[in-house]
Amino acid sequence: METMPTNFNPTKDGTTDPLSSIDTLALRALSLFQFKNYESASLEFSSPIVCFLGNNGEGKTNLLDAVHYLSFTKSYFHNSDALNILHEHDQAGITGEFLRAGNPELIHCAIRKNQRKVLKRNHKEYERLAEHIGLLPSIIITPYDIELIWEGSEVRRKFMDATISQYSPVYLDHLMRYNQALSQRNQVLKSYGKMGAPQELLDPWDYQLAFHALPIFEERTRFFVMLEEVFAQVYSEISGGKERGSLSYSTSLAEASMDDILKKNREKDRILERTTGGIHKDDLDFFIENQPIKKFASQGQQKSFLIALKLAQYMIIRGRSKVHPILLLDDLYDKVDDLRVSNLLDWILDKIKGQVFISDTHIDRIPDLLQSKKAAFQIYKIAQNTCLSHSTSIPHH
Amino acid sequence: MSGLPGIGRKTALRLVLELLKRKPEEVKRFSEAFIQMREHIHHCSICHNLSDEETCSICRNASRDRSTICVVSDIRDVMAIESTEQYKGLYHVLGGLISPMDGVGPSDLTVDDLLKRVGSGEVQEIIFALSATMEGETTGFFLYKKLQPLEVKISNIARGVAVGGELEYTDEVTLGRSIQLRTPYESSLKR
Repeated sequence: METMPTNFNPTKDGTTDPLSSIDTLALRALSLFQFKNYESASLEFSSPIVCFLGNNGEGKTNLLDAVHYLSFTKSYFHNSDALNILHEHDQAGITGEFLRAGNPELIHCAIRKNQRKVLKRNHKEYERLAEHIGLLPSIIITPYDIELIWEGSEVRRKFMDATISQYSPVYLDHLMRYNQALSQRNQVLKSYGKMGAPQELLDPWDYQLAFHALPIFEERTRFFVMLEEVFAQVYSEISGGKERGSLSYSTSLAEASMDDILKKNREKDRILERTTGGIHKDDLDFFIENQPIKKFASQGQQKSFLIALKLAQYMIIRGRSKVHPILLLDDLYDKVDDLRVSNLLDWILDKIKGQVFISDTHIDRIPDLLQSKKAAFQIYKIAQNTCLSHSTSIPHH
Repeated sequence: MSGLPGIGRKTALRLVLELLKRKPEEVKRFSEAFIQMREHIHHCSICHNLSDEETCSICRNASRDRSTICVVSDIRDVMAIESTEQYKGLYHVLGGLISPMDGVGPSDLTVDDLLKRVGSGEVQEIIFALSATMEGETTGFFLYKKLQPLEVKISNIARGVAVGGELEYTDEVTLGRSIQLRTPYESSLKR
């Protein structure tokens, strides 16, 4: 099989897999019940590209977020599940009918106020929500991604964690345990306050933190090596090769072991009543032409950088999880001009073989563009939260 | 009654209405049984298991192996291990697991009593049978640090694939841990 240099799917040992060995994934139907602004809605999808078109505030992003929910068991936008329930109601439900490698997967997520969230796969409830992560991978590109540049390191760690967790359940387990040990250790520090927590009580948590920090650090390092390579290539392709985008991964674990970091910070931790050093302080830094993007890049450059970052994430998850993730493109024209959108769509049509959902505020700009590129797509017009009409376009060759 | 765990207001009401239907003598016998239970059952002075005497039936049993102590967090764990009929040693009930977020520190557990028992010299092996949770493992580590200077053999119950379980259906984390903590084949031949 002929492989284009950009068609790579990096695996653990850096080898390249042909796309044919990757499982297909498609969302065939979605139904919502009291989810966000939807009283109830049901949609059916029959095309590899689905467009949600309508004015701002009609609920296009909410549809994309519903798909994200079925993939990650939570919203991309709110940490609190209760915020995703329709105003003045107590419960919400999302059901998705997927086809994964030809097998039907029926996923149902029920959210209730003040109750535990329930997730069912083919009518069977998951014991742990974490078990679901990675089964139906998706990547969302949204205007809110700007947080990755402007907000604190937590958002960038979340980006790394969300990516790695989709292909490594072991990583997710280490991460959850690390965070749990961190909360417990901070509680010990806090409860002794100015008196200073006795070392004897910190030791067991230090041991747990060190035990889980090492595999997290190693997996993040492996991920970063892949990300750096894939990102550089995607960025150069979608920005027309005019400028060079790069990333760096900063972690205190590179210079010292978690044990040493905790030892070094002992007194500081006692005074500040929290754990000041460790893998929970890792960060990613973004550069264009070696200049920090936050200070030196224009809005358009920042947007292109973020799109490339998310597409690199897509490529890595596809390569590692051996399934074509679902791509969710929210408000595609945000801070991007017509030419860039057209180039981006060309790139996506060429490289991405999975299902793509696109939202836009204009009724015809995306359909016209897709038609000119002879791509098959389907349209849902979104208005007044509930009313949905649709049409399907088959390309004429 | 709704102050009891697992009983909400509706269940409490149901129980009260049911008690009101019963004959007074019956309810009296029932409440006396409660009082008897509360007055006579207390914690074993050695291992903190439940007992109606100063020491529990396991600690009193002369045929139990007094050189081995199995450390558990809860009395229900004693019951669970006893029902396996695989263990002939003694127990030590901690009364919980270390969890600062729930306000449980080592001083809330029976750690000092365990150290005293081990220090008395009769004990040769300590087995940790604690939950495979963060809190269980942390409590194990804390005890290990405390017991280490006492020169006693310390072991942990095995973690891994469930008996009768298929590898394919074992989650990655458990299976990964089973590979890391693999045991010599000969030990699986011993019965």
